[in-house]
Amino acid sequence: MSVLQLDAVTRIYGAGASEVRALDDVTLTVDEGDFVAIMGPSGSGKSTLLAIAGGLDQGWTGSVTVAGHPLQGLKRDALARLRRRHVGYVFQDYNLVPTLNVIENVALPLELDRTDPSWARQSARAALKRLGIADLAGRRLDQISGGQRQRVAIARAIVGDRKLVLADEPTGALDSATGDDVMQRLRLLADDGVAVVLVTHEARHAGWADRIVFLRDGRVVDSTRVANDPAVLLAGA
Amino acid sequence: MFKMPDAARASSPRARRFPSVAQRLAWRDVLAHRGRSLLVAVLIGLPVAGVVAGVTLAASGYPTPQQRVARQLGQAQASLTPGNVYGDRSLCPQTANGLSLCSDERRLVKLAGPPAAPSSAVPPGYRTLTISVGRAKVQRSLSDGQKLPTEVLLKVVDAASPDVAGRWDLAAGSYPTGASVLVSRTFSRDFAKGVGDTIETPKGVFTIAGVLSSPTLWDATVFASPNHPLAVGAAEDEVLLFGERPFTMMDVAAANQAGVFAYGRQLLLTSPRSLYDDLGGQWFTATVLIGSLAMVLITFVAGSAFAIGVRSSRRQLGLLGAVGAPTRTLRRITLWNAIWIAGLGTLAGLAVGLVGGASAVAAVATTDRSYPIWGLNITPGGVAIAACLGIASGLLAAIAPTHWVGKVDALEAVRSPEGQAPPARIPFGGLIVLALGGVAYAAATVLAQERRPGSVRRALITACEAGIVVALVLGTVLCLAPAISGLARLAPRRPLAMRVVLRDLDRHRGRVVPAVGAVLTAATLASALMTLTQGALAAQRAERVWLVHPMHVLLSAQDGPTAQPRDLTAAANAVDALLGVTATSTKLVQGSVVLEVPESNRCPDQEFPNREDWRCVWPVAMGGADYQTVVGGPSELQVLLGRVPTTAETDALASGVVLTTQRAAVADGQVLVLVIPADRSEAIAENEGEQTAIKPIPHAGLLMSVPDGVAGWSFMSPETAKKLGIVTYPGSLVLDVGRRVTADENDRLQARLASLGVQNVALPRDPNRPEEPIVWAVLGVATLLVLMVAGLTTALAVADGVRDESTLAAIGAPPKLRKATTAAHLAVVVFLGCVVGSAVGVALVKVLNQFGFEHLYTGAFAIPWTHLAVLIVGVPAVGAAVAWVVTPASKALARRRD
Repeated sequence: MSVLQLDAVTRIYGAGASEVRALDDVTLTVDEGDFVAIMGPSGSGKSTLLAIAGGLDQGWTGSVTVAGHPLQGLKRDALARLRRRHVGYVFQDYNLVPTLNVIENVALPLELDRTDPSWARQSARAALKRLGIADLAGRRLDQISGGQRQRVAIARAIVGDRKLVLADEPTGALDSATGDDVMQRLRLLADDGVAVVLVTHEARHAGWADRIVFLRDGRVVDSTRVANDPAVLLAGA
Repeated sequence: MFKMPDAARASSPRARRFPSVAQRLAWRDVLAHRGRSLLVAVLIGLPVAGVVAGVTLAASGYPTPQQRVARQLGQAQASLTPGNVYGDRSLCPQTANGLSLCSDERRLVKLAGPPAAPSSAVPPGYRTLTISVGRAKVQRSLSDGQKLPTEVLLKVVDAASPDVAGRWDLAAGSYPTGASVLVSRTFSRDFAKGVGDTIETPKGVFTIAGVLSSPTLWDATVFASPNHPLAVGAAEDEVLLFGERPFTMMDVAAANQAGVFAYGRQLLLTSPRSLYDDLGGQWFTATVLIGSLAMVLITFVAGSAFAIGVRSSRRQLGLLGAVGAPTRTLRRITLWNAIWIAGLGTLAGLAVGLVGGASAVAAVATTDRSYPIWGLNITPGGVAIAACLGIASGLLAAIAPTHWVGKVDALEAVRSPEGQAPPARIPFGGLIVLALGGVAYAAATVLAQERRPGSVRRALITACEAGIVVALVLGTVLCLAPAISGLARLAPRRPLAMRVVLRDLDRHRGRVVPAVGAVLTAATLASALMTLTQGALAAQRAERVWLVHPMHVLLSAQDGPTAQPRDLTAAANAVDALLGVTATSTKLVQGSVVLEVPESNRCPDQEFPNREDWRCVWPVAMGGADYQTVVGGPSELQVLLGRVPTTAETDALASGVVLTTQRAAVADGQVLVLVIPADRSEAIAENEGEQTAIKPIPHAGLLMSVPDGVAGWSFMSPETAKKLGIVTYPGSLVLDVGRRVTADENDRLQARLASLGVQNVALPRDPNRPEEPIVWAVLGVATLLVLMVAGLTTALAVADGVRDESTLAAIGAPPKLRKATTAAHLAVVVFLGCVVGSAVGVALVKVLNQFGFEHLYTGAFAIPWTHLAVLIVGVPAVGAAVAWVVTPASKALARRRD
């Protein structure tokens, strides 16, 4: 079942001589359990595609549907609700709330959705456990490493019933070993049925995906299936 | 995959939980930025504490009924005192049922005849205690060792008697035994004498056993027991009534009929309460107005801090938005941040204010001079007002940042924490606030139409005045953004430092507007206070009546037609010797006569003071009893006035017209002459009520103009005096010393002349009027306040701009650029705030003066141009210089931090 559907999406910034087509007639489908990597040179529209998919960017034309919800015409608060319930975002710089501890950060989307607090905490623990960092629940952010923070960020992205995880260069601030670990976690998510869309510069990391979509100048120029063996990727080839 | 049951979702869309996510995140942010949060909390708490302390001090100056009863009656059921009115009127305002209600609750219907001794009006069934009063002459030591015999009030009463328990407090020492006496605190201070010291009087030397204090004890007073030598000659002044039966209004009326004032315990306890007085009266108004302005000032400083805080949290806010926080949650985080801080600051301020207020009350109570303290009266209303001001200031400070937070684009905030400043738009918010100020002005205008508004109306007028003040200041500040953007357009041709600062000010309008607003508010307060003070000084100069020209010394040769004349030769020589001059002397003949104020020139309906009616301002409203009448010709008139008489004046004098400087005495070219027989002159001098038996004689009169409020005199020719049957006597000797006399010379003259037995001396006013430096003192305090506020907001701005500084340093900017930009930042902020604030302050005084603001303002409107020029030009220059000096030249290049 399709979790993310972009049909002829175009995003233009500016006008006239300063017009920039960040995305140009992009069509993309991501199903449950799909792991899609988006690659391309700087300015090709990768992050813009992710932002549109997450409801963080507006002003585009075309059609975008996330988990069966069309995004056209949705107001800010409706988009925020969509992100709370259906879309998880993973940033390069983790973007965790420094005044909250680990479990509070993970439970944050559910608490913002006014979920019963005990259930929110329980869900958060479950998410942390999936990422193998349940023991960090009560720690402050300054007490854990960069890799652990990124795993916390991923846990926040998947807490609850999230069907779609959007990861914008999640390994950019990590060393290679930690980065591989993060990619492995994302792979496991996809294997569990979560749709993952990854933006990355590194071909090694793109190799963890099921499919790689290449963008150039806002257009999809290529889309290819990948059949890499995770073991090979972890071996550091 | 973990699947959360639907039951875990919120049971209803509006399910509440405390603390909510927003409250929790806000609290965590407060803790994460303790320094800034504590600063803002302290800033909010300080004026809250000030208002609470001020209102407590104000309310403690107004007695509760129980306090009044205790202080004025002790254990008595009622008090009777001689009725004392001017003419046949009382200057006390009238109540609806025709009673005249004086400030100490004495009731008067209308005296049927002359005042009588209180003991003549004691109703049956009461035990009595008599308190007598007299005058005691006590030697007072001056700084140069001379002694000045000084008359003080003498009260004859057994102060230790249980009957008077509660009227006075024994502040020091013990109750007297034998021939010792008690003194008031004012006496103790004025005469520099305490327990154990002695006082010298013509009737002997007596030891001071103790010091009494009371909010009603203003004067230097000696207390002696009924058997004391000093008590001889004292006259009955007050009779206290003791008994079970309450003293009723019928008893009051009966006493009044007998020419006696009366008030009773039950009457005082059941008097209608004045809300306004309960809150502290005019001091409540002053405290609320100044407190409101202070809160506005703090709101802006806090707003600047909040704006910086929100900006620095921009990325976190964007993150929360990216995670799915709705706009209202983001706004609530900012709002709850302000609520937590304002709440903490307000609570601390209330606690400090109550302790401070109690301490201030205790300290002021020891003086018994400037402000009477009736007890520690804490008014819940005043405390509630202070609490509301504190919370309101925090909420107001958070309005703009809360509004801005809702417009943050989540993605942009995450990627670019700096953000771009939106273009300056038409300041609709500011215009709306100014319009609300106009509504408050209209409401106050309607409410103030009643000349003597009741206590609720007066409190409402105060609220409207506070609203006008806040709206004018706040609205002006909210309209500053376009001005700041306009300044940025001046940047291109400016030096580098100024260019950087002007562009930076525009870019960070979110924190600059409140910073300028804080300076503006401080400048408004300063400007308003200076304008008020200048106006008060002008009014004082216009209304003061001097009995002698600035270069004259007036000696009394004879106190009345039947008094013994004095030989003033030694006194005149003493003046010459002490001042080092050869004074020109002129003898003045005086007449035993008073000019009565005609009915048409009397202040109607006891509306004193009323600046709009010349009849109802001091000293006119008090009548002309202090004006003396000289009998003589043009040469004596010239000496008296200090100028050449006009042709009209000399012609009028020659034709028998009575000349006077007393405006109220002349109506339609006529005066009312009260010729006082020689044998009644002493009695009338002691008691003005005695004048009522003399029939006034209408006579032609002319008002003279005098320079600079000098001389309260009337003048007539000898022929006119003879025609009217006026007794004359050699009244005064005028010594023209040819120069102004200093304050020190004034004191030494007074002592020297007193040692020669010359008591009645009119000395020139002190040319070094102490009140003039007051305006400069206000400016000095304002300068400190403005620079403190500007320094605070500039420091916040500098801390906020560390990233830019690092960039400038990295590209080779000279180290002193940091000094220059900080100095320029402070100078621009202070200049802009002071220019606008000065204008707003003057405008506020002009506006508030319309509402009978007589309790703080004396009517004249005078703009202190020199002082305002210093505020607008000098203070920014000084501030910039100080900023240059204290700012370090260079800062270690720090890693750009997120």
